[in-house]
Amino acid sequence: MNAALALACLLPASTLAVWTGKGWEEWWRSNDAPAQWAAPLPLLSATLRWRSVAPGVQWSETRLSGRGEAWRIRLIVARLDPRLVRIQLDTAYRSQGTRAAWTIDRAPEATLLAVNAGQFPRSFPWGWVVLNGREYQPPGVGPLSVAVAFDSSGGVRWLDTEALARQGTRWGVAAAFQSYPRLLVEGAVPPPLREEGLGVDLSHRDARAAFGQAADGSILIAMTRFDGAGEALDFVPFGLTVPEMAAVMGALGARNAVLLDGGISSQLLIADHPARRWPGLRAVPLGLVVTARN
Amino acid sequence: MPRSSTRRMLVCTGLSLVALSLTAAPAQSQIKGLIKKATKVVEGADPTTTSAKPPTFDDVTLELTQARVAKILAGKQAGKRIAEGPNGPAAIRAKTEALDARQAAIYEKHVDEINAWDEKRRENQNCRDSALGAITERRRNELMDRATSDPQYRLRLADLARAMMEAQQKGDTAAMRKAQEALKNLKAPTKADTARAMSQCGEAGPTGLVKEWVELKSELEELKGLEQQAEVAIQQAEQSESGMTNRQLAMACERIKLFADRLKKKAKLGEFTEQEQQALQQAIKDLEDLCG
Repeated sequence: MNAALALACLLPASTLAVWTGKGWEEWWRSNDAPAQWAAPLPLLSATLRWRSVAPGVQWSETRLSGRGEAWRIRLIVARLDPRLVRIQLDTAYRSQGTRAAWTIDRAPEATLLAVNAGQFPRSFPWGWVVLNGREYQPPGVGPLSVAVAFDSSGGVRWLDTEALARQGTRWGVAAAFQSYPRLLVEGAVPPPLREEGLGVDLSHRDARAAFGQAADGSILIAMTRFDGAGEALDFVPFGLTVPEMAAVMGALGARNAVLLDGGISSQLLIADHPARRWPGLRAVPLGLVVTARN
Repeated sequence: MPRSSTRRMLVCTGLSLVALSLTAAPAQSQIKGLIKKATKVVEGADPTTTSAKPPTFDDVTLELTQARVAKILAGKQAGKRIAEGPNGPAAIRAKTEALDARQAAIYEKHVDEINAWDEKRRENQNCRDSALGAITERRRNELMDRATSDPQYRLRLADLARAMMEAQQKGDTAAMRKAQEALKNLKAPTKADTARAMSQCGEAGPTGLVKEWVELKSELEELKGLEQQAEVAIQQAEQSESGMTNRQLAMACERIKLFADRLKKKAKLGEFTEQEQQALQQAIKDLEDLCG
């Protein structure tokens, strides 16, 4: 394990194993969980067979096994090179703006990848949103929140609440969203994700979606789907805990990562041939849409 | 499709043979191993010397006492009655051979028609698969639409998923089947869907001699199944009447055959206890015949 430091036994008991093709191999334990991730975990990486969709867009999937509802979980991972693709945000509402209406079905034809972005308490996205260079919503404030800002040349910045408050940091941004909780900060698992009682429910299981960035700058988008009853019920929101999802992102090689809205909101489209769709059961107010950079 | 009758047989009976071999192979290899063991046990010593000793009896090698020999005879006779009866493997094999000859004759003369029908059948099957695949996809979308709009239904699906997962984790096959059946009912094409798909793709039923050939093929497959069932019935009758397991009976028969061989060669019988020698000598003719 890429553990620089191991967490004490402060997490709800759980484990994660990956299907290697020959059997399940355990790679994470809550009572020996790394507090810091330095590099991708070879065991998990070895199970990923990357498929190229377009320049700068690859995806893969693997099978995980955890406790309880996470007994059989499919992990879908997309890897993007932000220098080769254009990342935009999109919103959609109905009922005179009172109901969220964005789904992956709204993604334009040229879309290479689309995923729900950020979190939303009611009908509107939570926190800072920049659409096509214009601030659509001001930043929100939350202890584990982080904003991800994209500039027009493919640069990606991670901005915490303090950074967002500083003058000038919000300039020159082509698209941005804010989400929570943060899963990794420069490879470190934030303290509230390492110990119960610090404001994050560490035992709740749900289908998860996360956005991260690896040390080489590539963007990692990961989503889990219930895999215990075939594809027919893959939208059932059974899945990982927040610390487990942090471990997944760390093991995938993310240096920074944040959770996106999961559960019945999580949805992903990858324009492979044929296109792969993991629809959600709920429309959301904000989607992240990746297209080719012309 | 292969032209030689041998290869044809392989094609015709391939599936049933695979099924048969899947179940029969482990049993066969076990019995072979047993025979090897029996031979080792009883032939390890030179029969002409006084050093040959009876084996150590255990839960596979049983002492062949008078009572046990009587049981073996009863078991083997019960098996023989089934084997030689109208539904025994030999009778079934006789039927199989007649049908097989007829099927081979049709194949030799009408191979091109059979191949043409087979191609048409496959095209038809592909068409049905595509149509049913589209229906399944549509039903899945309907399922998701309902789950999207109806939270109660969503909970029911989550309960079903949980039941399925728990059954899998516990290895509870009955619960697993029940959950899978429920899931299948949710997404499988209905009878009306299936009928629609069938009508879209048309019929690809065989006619004339091709039809007869296909019917013979299915009859032959059925007979193979019956033959397998008859073999199982023989084993069950033997075991039930003798009160011995298949392995114990196989070992006993190997020792009986060795005993008969020793008698014929007038060799020493040191591998058998005195009690066994007495019991076996009285019934050796019947035993030898029944053990084959």
